[in-house]
This record gives sequence, C-alpha cells and structure tokens, in this order.
Amino acid sequence: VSVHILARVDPRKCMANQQCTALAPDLFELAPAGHSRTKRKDETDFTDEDLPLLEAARDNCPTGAIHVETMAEPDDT
Amino acid sequence: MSAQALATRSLDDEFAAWYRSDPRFAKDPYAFYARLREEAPVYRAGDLVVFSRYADCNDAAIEATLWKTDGKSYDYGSLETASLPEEAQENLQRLFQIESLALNKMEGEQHRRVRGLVQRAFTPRTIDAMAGRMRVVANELVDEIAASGRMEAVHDFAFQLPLIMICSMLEVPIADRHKIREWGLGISGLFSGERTDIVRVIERAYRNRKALYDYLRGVIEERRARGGEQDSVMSILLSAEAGDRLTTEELVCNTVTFVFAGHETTTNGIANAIIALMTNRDQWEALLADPNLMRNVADESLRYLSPVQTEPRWASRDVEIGGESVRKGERVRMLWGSSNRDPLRFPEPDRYDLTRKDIKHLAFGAGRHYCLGASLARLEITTAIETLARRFPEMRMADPEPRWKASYNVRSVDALPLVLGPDRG
Repeated sequence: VSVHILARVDPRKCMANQQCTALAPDLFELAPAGHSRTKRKDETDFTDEDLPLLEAARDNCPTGAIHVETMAEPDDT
Repeated sequence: MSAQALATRSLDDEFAAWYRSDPRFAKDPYAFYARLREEAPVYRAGDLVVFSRYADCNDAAIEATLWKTDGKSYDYGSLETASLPEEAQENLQRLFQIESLALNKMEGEQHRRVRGLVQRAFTPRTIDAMAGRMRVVANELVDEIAASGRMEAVHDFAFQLPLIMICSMLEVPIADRHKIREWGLGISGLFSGERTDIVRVIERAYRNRKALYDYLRGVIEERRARGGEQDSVMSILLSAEAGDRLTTEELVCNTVTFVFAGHETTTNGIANAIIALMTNRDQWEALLADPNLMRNVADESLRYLSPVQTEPRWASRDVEIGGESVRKGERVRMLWGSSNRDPLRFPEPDRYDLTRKDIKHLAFGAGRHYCLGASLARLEITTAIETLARRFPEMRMADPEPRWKASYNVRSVDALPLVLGPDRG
C-alpha cells in the first residue's frame, strides 16, 4: 500500500498569517495575491516525509485554510 | 451625519474631527469613510498615511516592513504625546513597557517564536472542541436574568461569556471576572480615543493595566506552585516557559493581553451582532426561519459593525502600498471599518446580509498580526446569538437607536437594554 498525499490552501479562508511559511518554508509560500499557497506545482506532489510538516501547518493555521488528505492505495508493484 | 452635510466641509476638517473622536461620527462614520475612499483612498496628514480601501488595508497588514510600533511607543491616534505634561508622558512610557512583550506589539523573530508557541492553543480545531462548554455557559448566563424579561446585554451577557471562557482557558478564577472587567474598562478608554481630561485617561489606563498585570502574575505564580489542568492554554504557556522557549515576562505580558483582548473586543462583537440583527429585523426573522444562516452571523456582523475600526503601523523602511510611497518613520493607519464597507470588495456593502457568499472581512486584521483569538471570538459570537435566538425569538431593543460611543477606533455601546419577551428555551 502506498500513501498519496493531497495538500492545498483555501485562498477564501487564508488571511496570510504565515504560520505555514514559518513552520514549513520548503512547502509553503506567500503568493503575490496575498495568500499562502503550496510550493508544489500539483497539490498531490508530496511525499511521506512532507506529511508531519503539512499536518503541523494545518493544525497551526488560525483560519483552518489548509487542507491535508492522505489516501492509501494498493501498490502496483 | 448626512452626505450633504459632509460634503460642505473640507476632507481635512472632517478627518481631523473624526480622528479626535468627534461625537458627530458616533452614529454613522460610514458616510465619512465612503468620502475618504472616493476622494483620498490614501490620505495623508503630516507624517500619517491612512488607507481606507480593502485592497490597500490588506496589503498594508501583510507588509512585513510595517511594524506595530516604533519600539519606543504605541500610536494612540490623535494623541500628541510631545505636548502632554511630564507625568502623562511617563505613564505612557510605563504603559508601553508592560505591554511591549505582548504578542501584538512584537515583530520579527521574537514574534514568530512566541506566536508559534501559543498558536496551537487557539486554532479552529482546538476552539471547536469548546463549543459544548460554551453553550452551557451562555445558557446559564441567560437563566440568571430570563425571568425578569429584560436584559442589559453588555453587562448581563456580552462581556461575561468571553471573559468566563478566556478565564477558563487560562485557569484564572472566574469569580474575579467583575474585577477584571473593571480593569479592562479602565484600560480601554485610552485606546478608544477618550480625550477629555487626557492626563487622567492615561493614568487610569496605566494604573488598571498594572493592576491586571500584578493580579495575573500572582495567578500564574500560584498556578506554577500548585499545578493545574493538563491541556489548558496556561499549561501550554507554562511548559513553554519551563523549556526556556518563553520568558517569565513574556508569559505574564501575553497572559494580560489574552485576558484583556480575549474579552474586550468580543464583548463589542456580541453586542454589535445583536444590534445588527435587531436593526435589520428581516435578517433576524430569516435567521429564525433558517438556522443554517447561523454560520454567517459572526462574520457578517463583524464585517458590518467591526468592533475594531482602525489599527496603526509604523514604517520601518520605505515601502510602496496602494501605489503610494510610505517613507521610513511615517505612521500608517488601516481603516478596517472602512475596508469592510468597500464596494470594490463587497457588493452592496452597507447591507447587512446573512446570505452573503464571500465575507472575507478584515475585522480581525490580516497577516502576521491576524487576531490570535479570531476562532474563539467567532464561536463566542455565534453561540451568543444562537442562544438568544433559540430562547428569545421575540426579543427587541428597548431603545430604538443604539447609543454608539464616540470613538475613531472602537465601534461599541456602553449599554444595550433588551426586552426579551417569553423564554422559549
């Protein structure tokens, strides 16, 4: 079983408090539009190693704007 | 104030009057804000730069080089500190000293460290877990006065609910809440723009802040000595202090801020939500008919009648906001009350509408100083209205017009008498 991770920031909720960019600067950044976003091109482009920081960012977000989802799927190999 | 009357005065005169909390603006500052947004969205008065449009206020709040203070003093609006008697200046300095280690005055690495430590105690998930307890408290408060058929909503309800909740979170004796409320009122005059007998206002603010500080230092020392709850906010703060991640002084200063800020603005938030609903009766009726609208009550009320109308910053270096240059050392003021009524951001902004789809307002600010207690305040306002709507659907204001305080900075009433009608609870 492999774990797929999805993470995204809801710009309608984000108030640019930047707890996420402070906690996980390699995973989050402030977009020019004035809200945080993930640094990855795709919202599923994360590995198991990213999960603790993604969850910490989600749990510390003051507006609940970060969504993190893990999906277990049978491994093809 | 009517738009016609406003238009006959120069914008400079109007701004000066509003900034010194002229009672003319107490009932309705919004016509003045509209004029400011239209005629001078970036308004300059000496070394002060004022932003009134949503986009500019948001950009200023997020801008890292605009700091809360200049490191020496706090900006109390029209207060000219240099012309004050020596005694008042000394009291302002003392006041700044006991506030300077609070999160809402910090910047840079110190701010990141302390905010990171306390944030997890105030996240939406942590706060949502308190909903059940909060409903019980709200109902108990209402039980005490329901039989009388009347309520003075500020004193009987709006200040008590948030103060009881923040005291519980910080393990502060709830029985002391009336004493804490008195200290809070003593502090708030300076912030809200009371300028009559300013020497006394400043002395009162310092004396009450110091009293709250001394009281909470005692509470913390006692809590440290005897131990207490495992998962309270206080336990999180004390474990950070024990681990040398938070100094004792930072712990005490921030506890003072949590207790003061944790009830003062939410008291006004609850009272303002009641006023918004009672003066827009169609929305009250809509809410009674469709409880799903309850999820918008806090945010639409905060947008429509923002308890904190403005917030200051200080430019630590040259920066451009809203196409205007702000020079290092200049003072900046963001008008939340205006930005939340900006038609460029909100359709029909002067309409109180619980069905509004996008209510991303700036009543809690934005950026790194976004209100730490925002989730708590939202839940408290929602719980307060939910309780009143369920138990007193026929309630109304005893006076048809709320008596708004004259303040450039705070939208609040001292008292809000309600006729409750029958208790349906």
